[in-house]
Amino acid sequence: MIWALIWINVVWLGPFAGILAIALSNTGEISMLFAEAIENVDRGPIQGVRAAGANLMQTICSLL
Amino acid sequence: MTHESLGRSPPFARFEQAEAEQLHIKRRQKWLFGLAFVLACLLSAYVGEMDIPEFVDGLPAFFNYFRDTLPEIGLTTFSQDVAEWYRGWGKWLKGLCMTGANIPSPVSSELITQQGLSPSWFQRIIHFSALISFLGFTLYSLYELDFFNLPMIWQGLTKLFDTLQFMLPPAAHGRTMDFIWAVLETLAMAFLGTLLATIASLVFGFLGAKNVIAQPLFHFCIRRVMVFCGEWML
Repeated sequence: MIWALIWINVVWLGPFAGILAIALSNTGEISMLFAEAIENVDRGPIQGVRAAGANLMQTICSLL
Repeated sequence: MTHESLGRSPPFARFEQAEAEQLHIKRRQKWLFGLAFVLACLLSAYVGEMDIPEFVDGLPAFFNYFRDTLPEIGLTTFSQDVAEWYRGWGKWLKGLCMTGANIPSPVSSELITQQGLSPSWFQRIIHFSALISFLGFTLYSLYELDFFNLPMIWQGLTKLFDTLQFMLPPAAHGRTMDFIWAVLETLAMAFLGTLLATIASLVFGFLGAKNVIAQPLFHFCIRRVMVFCGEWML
């Protein structure tokens, strides 16, 4: 709600401000969820993929 | 039996054909889904009036908003600026002390019990009066906030049902297109908002995970930023 009030200063009153407001507030919530998920990830598969010779990016992509 | 002869045998050939068909169907579904997704994005961007140049032009206003909420503190006029910022701090402090004075402190009851009064009696009176005053204050607050004004509440409830009644035979009154457009706008906002949020969250999720960046202060700060964005400003 407050994000929407701030965003309508940036883009004029309309659906775009709504998109930005929803995006920003959801970013906070979803990144909280993602961070929790990444923190609680199982170490076993990571070690397995790393042992098979995957680099950092490949590890992240294969386990996401 | 070699691989070649296996490939030529009828059941194996049939299996291979079926597998190829299934893979083909799966690939086609994947492409269809991707196309539908891109189409949905473009349509939402159109319906949601997404205007990137306008966004870039207006972006300074976003930062100006936060800058304007901060007080102006100059180096030369530091003390005056802080005094201006905390205008009336003496009154706040006095109010804070008055709030604290009403809280019954356990120290005083201990002092009195040391002076020879019966501890159980004294404590019983303290606890009972605390309970009574708590209940009394609760009831007084409810009364003060019109909680016991039953006719008013009943009137409000009937108004609630009146509103429901207005909705019951759904009628557009000749504005069907307006309503459809509004529904589309809502859907576009929800879709694009969540999509952008998910993309941004991929980055912030990694930044906020303790086992990716093992830096307690950074972890704390970025978690607070997330809570600020997601909940405080909601």
